[in-house]
Amino acid sequence: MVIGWSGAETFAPPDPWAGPASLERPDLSDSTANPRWHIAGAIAAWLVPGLGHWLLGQRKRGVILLISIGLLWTSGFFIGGVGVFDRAGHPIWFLGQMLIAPSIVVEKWDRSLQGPDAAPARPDAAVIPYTPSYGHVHEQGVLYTALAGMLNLLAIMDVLYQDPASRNRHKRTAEAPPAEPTAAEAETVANGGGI
Amino acid sequence: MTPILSPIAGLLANITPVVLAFRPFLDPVPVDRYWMLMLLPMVVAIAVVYKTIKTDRLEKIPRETTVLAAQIVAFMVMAAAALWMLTELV
Repeated sequence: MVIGWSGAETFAPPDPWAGPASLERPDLSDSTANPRWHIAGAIAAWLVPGLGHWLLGQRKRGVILLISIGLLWTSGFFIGGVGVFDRAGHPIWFLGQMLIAPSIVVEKWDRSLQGPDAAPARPDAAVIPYTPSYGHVHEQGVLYTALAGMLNLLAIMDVLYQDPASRNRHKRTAEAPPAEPTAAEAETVANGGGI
Repeated sequence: MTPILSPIAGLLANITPVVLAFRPFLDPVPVDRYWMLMLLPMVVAIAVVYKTIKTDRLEKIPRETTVLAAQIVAFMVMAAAALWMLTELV
Protein backbone atom coordinates (compact mmCIF):
# COMPACT_ATOMS: atom_id res chain seq x y z
CA MET A 1 0.00 0.00 0.00
CA VAL A 2 1.24 3.42 -0.80
CA ILE A 3 0.66 5.97 1.93
CA GLY A 4 1.49 9.59 1.59
CA TRP A 5 2.71 11.26 -1.55
CA SER A 6 0.81 10.36 -4.61
CA GLY A 7 3.42 11.34 -7.11
CA ALA A 8 6.43 13.44 -7.87
CA GLU A 9 4.38 15.96 -9.78
CA THR A 10 3.26 17.53 -6.54
CA PHE A 11 6.68 17.15 -4.98
CA ALA A 12 9.08 18.22 -7.73
CA PRO A 13 8.17 21.46 -9.49
CA PRO A 14 8.90 21.79 -13.18
CA ASP A 15 12.64 22.12 -13.55
CA PRO A 16 13.93 24.44 -16.29
CA TRP A 17 17.37 22.80 -16.07
CA ALA A 18 16.13 19.29 -16.54
CA GLY A 19 16.88 17.45 -19.74
CA PRO A 20 14.38 16.98 -22.50
CA ALA A 21 11.25 15.06 -21.67
CA SER A 22 12.27 12.15 -23.85
CA LEU A 23 15.26 11.51 -21.58
CA GLU A 24 13.14 11.14 -18.47
CA ARG A 25 12.97 7.64 -17.18
CA PRO A 26 9.48 6.26 -17.65
CA ASP A 27 7.56 5.51 -14.50
CA LEU A 28 7.67 1.73 -14.45
CA SER A 29 7.12 0.89 -10.80
CA ASP A 30 4.88 3.18 -8.84
CA SER A 31 3.91 6.80 -8.71
CA THR A 32 6.35 7.78 -5.94
CA ALA A 33 9.46 7.30 -8.07
CA ASN A 34 10.16 9.94 -10.67
CA PRO A 35 13.90 10.10 -11.25
CA ARG A 36 14.98 12.94 -13.45
CA TRP A 37 17.84 13.28 -15.86
CA HIS A 38 19.53 16.67 -15.64
CA ILE A 39 21.80 16.90 -18.66
CA ALA A 40 22.28 20.66 -18.56
CA GLY A 41 22.91 20.56 -14.82
CA ALA A 42 25.58 17.89 -15.27
CA ILE A 43 27.33 19.97 -17.92
CA ALA A 44 27.18 22.99 -15.62
CA ALA A 45 28.67 20.89 -12.81
CA TRP A 46 31.51 19.89 -15.14
CA LEU A 47 32.18 23.51 -16.03
CA VAL A 48 32.08 24.78 -12.45
CA PRO A 49 31.95 22.38 -9.49
CA GLY A 50 28.74 22.81 -7.52
CA LEU A 51 26.98 24.80 -10.22
CA GLY A 52 24.76 21.84 -11.10
CA HIS A 53 23.43 21.57 -7.58
CA TRP A 54 22.98 25.34 -7.46
CA LEU A 55 20.89 25.28 -10.61
CA LEU A 56 18.77 22.43 -9.25
CA GLY A 57 17.89 24.58 -6.26
CA GLN A 58 20.24 22.92 -3.78
CA ARG A 59 22.24 26.07 -3.30
CA LYS A 60 23.93 25.37 0.02
CA ARG A 61 25.03 21.97 -1.24
CA GLY A 62 26.37 23.61 -4.38
CA VAL A 63 28.32 26.21 -2.43
CA ILE A 64 29.89 23.53 -0.22
CA LEU A 65 30.90 21.53 -3.30
CA LEU A 66 32.26 24.62 -5.01
CA ILE A 67 34.41 25.55 -2.04
CA SER A 68 35.69 22.05 -1.27
CA ILE A 69 36.38 20.85 -4.82
CA GLY A 70 37.51 24.26 -6.03
CA LEU A 71 39.88 24.69 -3.11
CA LEU A 72 41.38 21.24 -3.67
CA TRP A 73 41.88 21.87 -7.39
CA THR A 74 43.32 25.34 -6.84
CA SER A 75 45.64 24.05 -4.13
CA GLY A 76 47.06 21.40 -6.45
CA PHE A 77 47.47 23.95 -9.20
CA PHE A 78 49.19 26.32 -6.78
CA ILE A 79 51.50 23.67 -5.28
CA GLY A 80 52.72 22.09 -8.49
CA GLY A 81 52.32 24.98 -10.89
CA VAL A 82 51.01 24.85 -14.39
CA GLY A 83 53.23 21.85 -15.16
CA VAL A 84 50.96 19.43 -13.31
CA PHE A 85 48.50 19.53 -16.21
CA ASP A 86 50.49 17.48 -18.68
CA ARG A 87 48.38 15.39 -21.01
CA ALA A 88 51.39 13.99 -22.84
CA GLY A 89 53.41 13.25 -19.73
CA HIS A 90 50.77 11.45 -17.69
CA PRO A 91 47.63 10.91 -19.76
CA ILE A 92 45.89 8.67 -17.21
CA TRP A 93 46.10 11.30 -14.50
CA PHE A 94 44.92 13.90 -16.96
CA LEU A 95 41.75 11.87 -17.46
CA GLY A 96 40.99 12.54 -13.81
CA GLN A 97 42.01 16.17 -14.04
CA MET A 98 39.82 16.89 -17.06
CA LEU A 99 36.70 15.99 -15.07
CA ILE A 100 36.86 19.67 -14.14
CA ALA A 101 36.63 21.73 -17.30
CA PRO A 102 39.13 24.47 -16.33
CA SER A 103 41.85 21.81 -16.30
CA ILE A 104 41.59 21.63 -20.08
CA VAL A 105 42.08 25.37 -20.37
CA VAL A 106 45.10 25.28 -18.07
CA GLU A 107 46.56 22.37 -20.04
CA LYS A 108 46.25 24.42 -23.22
CA TRP A 109 48.06 27.23 -21.45
CA ASP A 110 50.77 24.82 -20.34
CA ARG A 111 51.28 23.63 -23.90
CA SER A 112 51.39 27.19 -25.18
CA LEU A 113 54.16 27.93 -22.69
CA GLN A 114 56.33 24.99 -23.63
CA GLY A 115 55.22 24.12 -27.14
CA PRO A 116 56.69 25.09 -30.49
CA ASP A 117 54.46 28.15 -30.60
CA ALA A 118 55.99 29.51 -27.44
CA ALA A 119 58.41 32.37 -27.67
CA PRO A 120 61.97 31.04 -27.84
CA ALA A 121 63.80 31.63 -24.59
CA ARG A 122 67.01 33.52 -25.12
CA PRO A 123 70.04 32.56 -23.06
CA ASP A 124 69.99 35.97 -21.44
CA ALA A 125 66.25 36.05 -20.92
CA ALA A 126 65.32 37.51 -17.57
CA VAL A 127 62.11 35.48 -17.29
CA ILE A 128 61.65 31.82 -18.07
CA PRO A 129 58.14 30.64 -19.04
CA TYR A 130 57.60 28.52 -15.93
CA THR A 131 59.43 26.23 -13.57
CA PRO A 132 58.49 22.57 -13.86
CA SER A 133 57.91 20.71 -10.62
CA TYR A 134 59.54 17.43 -9.69
CA GLY A 135 59.31 14.76 -7.04
CA HIS A 136 56.81 15.01 -4.22
CA VAL A 137 55.74 18.52 -5.22
CA HIS A 138 54.75 17.34 -8.67
CA GLU A 139 53.04 14.26 -7.22
CA GLN A 140 51.04 16.33 -4.78
CA GLY A 141 49.95 18.75 -7.48
CA VAL A 142 48.85 15.98 -9.81
CA LEU A 143 47.15 14.09 -6.99
CA TYR A 144 45.24 17.12 -5.72
CA THR A 145 43.96 18.13 -9.15
CA ALA A 146 43.10 14.60 -10.27
CA LEU A 147 41.33 13.88 -6.99
CA ALA A 148 39.37 17.11 -7.34
CA GLY A 149 38.28 15.95 -10.79
CA MET A 150 37.16 12.55 -9.54
CA LEU A 151 35.26 14.11 -6.66
CA ASN A 152 33.61 16.38 -9.18
CA LEU A 153 32.58 13.26 -11.08
CA LEU A 154 30.63 12.20 -7.99
CA ALA A 155 28.91 15.57 -7.97
CA ILE A 156 28.18 15.33 -11.72
CA MET A 157 26.64 11.89 -11.31
CA ASP A 158 24.58 13.12 -8.39
CA VAL A 159 23.21 15.93 -10.55
CA LEU A 160 22.81 13.86 -13.71
CA TYR A 161 20.41 11.32 -12.26
CA GLN A 162 18.57 12.56 -9.24
CA ASP A 163 15.60 10.94 -7.64
CA PRO A 164 13.70 13.55 -5.63
CA ALA A 165 11.95 10.88 -3.60
CA SER A 166 15.27 9.41 -2.53
CA ARG A 167 16.97 12.76 -1.92
CA ASN A 168 14.31 14.00 0.48
CA ARG A 169 13.09 10.76 1.96
CA HIS A 170 14.42 11.53 5.40
CA LYS A 171 13.13 15.08 5.38
CA ARG A 172 9.71 14.07 4.20
CA THR A 173 9.28 11.29 6.72
CA ALA A 174 10.26 13.70 9.45
CA GLU A 175 7.90 16.40 8.31
CA ALA A 176 4.91 14.46 7.06
CA PRO A 177 2.06 13.87 9.52
CA PRO A 178 0.89 10.28 9.95
CA ALA A 179 -1.57 9.40 7.26
CA GLU A 180 -5.16 8.88 8.25
CA PRO A 181 -6.50 5.48 7.19
CA THR A 182 -9.19 5.59 4.60
CA ALA A 183 -12.64 4.31 5.32
CA ALA A 184 -12.02 1.16 3.31
CA GLU A 185 -8.76 0.47 5.17
CA ALA A 186 -10.42 1.04 8.54
CA GLU A 187 -13.20 -1.35 7.59
CA THR A 188 -10.65 -3.95 6.49
CA VAL A 189 -8.77 -3.69 9.77
CA ALA A 190 -12.01 -3.83 11.76
CA ASN A 191 -12.93 -7.05 9.98
CA GLY A 192 -9.58 -8.59 10.94
CA GLY A 193 -7.95 -8.28 7.53
CA GLY A 194 -4.45 -7.08 6.79
CA ILE A 195 -3.46 -4.18 4.67
CA MET B 1 83.60 44.46 -12.03
CA THR B 2 86.53 42.77 -10.38
CA PRO B 3 87.54 39.35 -11.68
CA ILE B 4 86.69 37.84 -8.31
CA LEU B 5 83.06 38.95 -8.37
CA SER B 6 82.26 38.22 -11.98
CA PRO B 7 81.61 34.45 -11.47
CA ILE B 8 79.31 35.26 -8.57
CA ALA B 9 77.45 37.81 -10.64
CA GLY B 10 77.04 35.26 -13.39
CA LEU B 11 75.69 32.72 -10.94
CA LEU B 12 73.21 35.21 -9.51
CA ALA B 13 72.09 36.15 -12.99
CA ASN B 14 71.18 32.53 -13.59
CA ILE B 15 69.26 31.88 -10.39
CA THR B 16 67.77 35.29 -9.70
CA PRO B 17 64.58 34.88 -11.75
CA VAL B 18 63.68 31.68 -9.90
CA VAL B 19 64.75 32.59 -6.40
CA LEU B 20 63.55 36.14 -6.10
CA ALA B 21 60.45 36.22 -8.26
CA PHE B 22 58.01 33.57 -7.19
CA ARG B 23 55.17 33.50 -9.66
CA PRO B 24 52.04 31.78 -8.38
CA PHE B 25 50.79 28.94 -10.58
CA LEU B 26 53.96 29.13 -12.67
CA ASP B 27 56.54 28.12 -10.09
CA PRO B 28 56.00 25.18 -7.74
CA VAL B 29 55.82 25.60 -3.98
CA PRO B 30 58.60 23.76 -2.11
CA VAL B 31 56.59 21.40 0.07
CA ASP B 32 58.77 18.33 -0.38
CA ARG B 33 59.42 17.96 3.33
CA TYR B 34 55.74 18.14 4.24
CA TRP B 35 54.30 15.86 1.59
CA MET B 36 52.82 13.49 4.15
CA LEU B 37 51.00 16.31 5.92
CA MET B 38 49.57 17.31 2.57
CA LEU B 39 47.52 14.11 2.62
CA LEU B 40 45.31 15.48 5.38
CA PRO B 41 43.60 18.19 3.27
CA MET B 42 42.85 15.55 0.68
CA VAL B 43 41.22 13.33 3.27
CA VAL B 44 39.12 16.23 4.50
CA ALA B 45 38.09 17.11 0.95
CA ILE B 46 37.07 13.53 0.22
CA ALA B 47 34.99 13.38 3.39
CA VAL B 48 33.34 16.76 2.79
CA VAL B 49 32.37 16.05 -0.82
CA TYR B 50 31.15 12.53 -0.13
CA LYS B 51 29.03 13.55 2.82
CA THR B 52 27.72 16.63 1.02
CA ILE B 53 26.39 14.40 -1.73
CA LYS B 54 25.13 11.56 0.45
CA THR B 55 23.69 13.36 3.46
CA ASP B 56 20.07 14.44 3.33
CA ARG B 57 20.32 17.05 6.04
CA LEU B 58 23.07 19.62 5.61
CA GLU B 59 23.33 20.34 9.32
CA LYS B 60 24.69 16.82 9.81
CA ILE B 61 27.60 17.37 7.42
CA PRO B 62 30.20 18.73 9.91
CA ARG B 63 29.82 15.85 12.33
CA GLU B 64 29.64 13.13 9.68
CA THR B 65 32.58 14.66 7.82
CA THR B 66 34.69 14.67 10.95
CA VAL B 67 33.86 11.05 11.67
CA LEU B 68 34.60 9.92 8.11
CA ALA B 69 37.88 11.85 7.94
CA ALA B 70 38.98 10.36 11.25
CA GLN B 71 38.08 6.88 10.02
CA ILE B 72 40.08 7.34 6.82
CA VAL B 73 43.13 8.59 8.70
CA ALA B 74 42.86 5.78 11.24
CA PHE B 75 42.69 3.12 8.55
CA MET B 76 45.59 4.72 6.67
CA VAL B 77 47.70 4.55 9.83
CA MET B 78 46.66 0.95 10.42
CA ALA B 79 47.49 0.00 6.84
CA ALA B 80 50.86 1.74 7.09
CA ALA B 81 51.63 -0.06 10.33
CA ALA B 82 50.64 -3.41 8.84
CA LEU B 83 52.78 -2.83 5.77
CA TRP B 84 55.69 -1.70 7.93
CA MET B 85 55.43 -4.88 9.99
CA LEU B 86 55.21 -6.93 6.82
CA THR B 87 58.36 -5.42 5.37
CA GLU B 88 60.44 -5.04 8.51
CA LEU B 89 59.50 -7.93 10.75
CA VAL B 90 58.52 -10.75 8.43
